[in-house]
Amino acid sequence: MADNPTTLHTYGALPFYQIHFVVKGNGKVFEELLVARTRKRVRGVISKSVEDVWWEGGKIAERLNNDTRLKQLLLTILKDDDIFIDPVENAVRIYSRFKIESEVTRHLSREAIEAYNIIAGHVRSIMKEFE
Amino acid sequence: MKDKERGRHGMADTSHKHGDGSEGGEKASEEYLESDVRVILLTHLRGLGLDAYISSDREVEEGPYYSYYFTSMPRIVTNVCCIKVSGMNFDCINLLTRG
Repeated sequence: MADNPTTLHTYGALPFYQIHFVVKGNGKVFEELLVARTRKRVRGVISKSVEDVWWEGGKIAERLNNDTRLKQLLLTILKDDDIFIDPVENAVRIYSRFKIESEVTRHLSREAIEAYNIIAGHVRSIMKEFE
Repeated sequence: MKDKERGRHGMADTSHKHGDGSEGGEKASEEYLESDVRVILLTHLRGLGLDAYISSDREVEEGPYYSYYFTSMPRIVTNVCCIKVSGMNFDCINLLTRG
């Protein structure tokens, strides 16, 4: 029997969730400016502590690296995670990795929301500036 | 009573009460553990003091979800819901599930 690529898995949706913070707008126009992700230096294997966090990517990475408040927040929230800024056709999506069902809300602290809000603000300002 | 104070298996308390059926003159209410991830997320956001509400946004919910610049992102995902939060720089929060 030939494999049909359009057939979905019979086990359905898996209990892994990802939260996207969406900024609407044509992200594809600004994709070289807006694609970015975090990198970090971590000490320890079992009890990890993040020593340094920085952004890699387009123009937005420079601005995010210069934001001291954001860096302070990222040092506390990024233990075993990364944040990605991903421009798609109708929006710019800011997200981290998939989480299991029971940990969806644990990672979404007040500090995390503030960090995502700051990142979204930078995304919006770049989109306005280079419109 | 003590079990209720401790919480169930150390998990976050997402239990709710509903129904006010009366049995034998006493008011009885049914308690259940919230299992809908949308409601859990919404309750969590409201608990943080945010003005959040579930809203339908076709433009966001129908995707595309990834540009695939980052290769580790999955090919098959399913949209769960879209939550709007007022007073934020982002337009909405989109919850996706794998598979």
